[in-house]
Amino acid sequence: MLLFIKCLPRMFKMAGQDVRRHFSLTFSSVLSIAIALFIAMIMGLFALNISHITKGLEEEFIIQVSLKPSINEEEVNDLMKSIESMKDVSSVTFSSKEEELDQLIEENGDVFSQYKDSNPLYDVLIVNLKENHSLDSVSKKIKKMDNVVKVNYGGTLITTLISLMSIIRKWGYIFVLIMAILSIYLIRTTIKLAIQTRKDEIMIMRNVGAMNWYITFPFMLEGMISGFFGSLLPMGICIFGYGFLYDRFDGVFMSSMFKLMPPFPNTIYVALLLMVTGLIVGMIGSGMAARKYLRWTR
Amino acid sequence: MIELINVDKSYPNGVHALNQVSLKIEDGEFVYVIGATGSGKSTMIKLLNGEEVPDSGKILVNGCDVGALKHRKVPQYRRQIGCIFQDYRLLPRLTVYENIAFALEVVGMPKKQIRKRVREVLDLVDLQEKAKSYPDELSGGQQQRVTIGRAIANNPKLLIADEPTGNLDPEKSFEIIELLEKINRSINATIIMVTHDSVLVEKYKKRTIVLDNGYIVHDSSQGGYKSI
Repeated sequence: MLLFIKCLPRMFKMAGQDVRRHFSLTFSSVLSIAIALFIAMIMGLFALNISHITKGLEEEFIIQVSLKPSINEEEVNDLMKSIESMKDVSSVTFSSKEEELDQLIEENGDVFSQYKDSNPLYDVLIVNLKENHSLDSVSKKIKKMDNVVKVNYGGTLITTLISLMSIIRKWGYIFVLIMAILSIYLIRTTIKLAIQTRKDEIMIMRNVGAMNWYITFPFMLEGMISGFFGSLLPMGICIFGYGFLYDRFDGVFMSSMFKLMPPFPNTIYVALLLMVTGLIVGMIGSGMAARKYLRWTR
Repeated sequence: MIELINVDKSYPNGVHALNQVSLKIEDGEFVYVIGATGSGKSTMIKLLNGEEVPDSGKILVNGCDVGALKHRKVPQYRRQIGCIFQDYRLLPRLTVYENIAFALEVVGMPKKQIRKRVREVLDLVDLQEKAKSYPDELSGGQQQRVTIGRAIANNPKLLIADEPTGNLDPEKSFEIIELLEKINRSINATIIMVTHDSVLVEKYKKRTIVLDNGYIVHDSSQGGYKSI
């Protein structure tokens, strides 16, 4: 351990020197890390956006239950309780017809003010759901209850859209994972090529009595340096490129229904994640490659 | 002292590299090991520097059982022995000075001491003025001297030379042998030298061990010197 600390400055020097001496090889591993991280970055942003859009859609996911005008307060409370006790329901709130009209005026303008004297609307219950795929079954059940005039929700189109989104999101994450594993292998192969030329060096080190960690550590540092430089470009593209695209699209995709993920601070997180991934992947990749030329048993 | 007791070694491909080899080499001895290709010379070297483990038998180097060494301990053990190769095995991107210092850095020696020790070693192998040259700027004999310098930098008790003169012309070979003799005398290191060069063995007479098909067929310390 003491030796390790004593050797640290020498190791950093060695790693830095090797990066400069084997510039073309370092460059190729930097490039392969950059490409892999770039693809992972795009997939990651894609998946994050999909999840952001679905979340936005889900918020609009409510069942509006219109009540008979003849209903009294007690019956309203009973109805609320029975809906609340249903399996997938998370909350039920009451909204009187006056409140509904106010909201309508607020959203659509003063045209509706004329109805203030004879309000044509119903009192409603707003039902929020835990799981949006039960939208259909829950609204059917509510419809059968007493004192219910009408049950409204977005319709089947929106449910299919939501389930489609969640499938895309799930596969997006799986794809990102696969890309990450793939990039480790890609990087490992590149670094292995780079290290092949240094087989002799490792052999000589072993011959003069260098410990295994003494041999691998500079290689791992080197890998981290390549990982660092490899992540710079994807990071830049992530922060500036995504911000630019976001501005170009005015923050929405096709229609205002699909709100894109705002660039700040999310892209910063993604960029930091890219850098950490680059460092770790570079370290593991070259560590693994260097270990190939060492012996671990007798 | 180096002692091999009934050492057997065979490889997975079925080759019996060494058979029942028993051998004793005293401290400060200078020994030639000769034999045809495939006679087990390289295996003997690999067993001595801890690269391979014997199937049976014991190898004792200064009281240390090399075959029973834990893998973790091999590097420390290796620092006590110096290796010299036919193909020099110098790091091409390091200067002569750095190549020799390398063996000392591995041990974690402080920079100041390294500088002092490398200068001493360069003095011994007579390469002071080449300290800043790179290996490819040196002749074969000079490169071999650098390798010898690297091997003795750690003050090893045992020096193993695997055909050190294999790539050199006779004149340079004599130089190398004389240098090894000088080292043998000055730091009292045991030297085991594997060689093909019968001229050399003839000229600088020393204890000679002849290997053939994994057996010791002749040892000049028992039964006098025999010309090959």
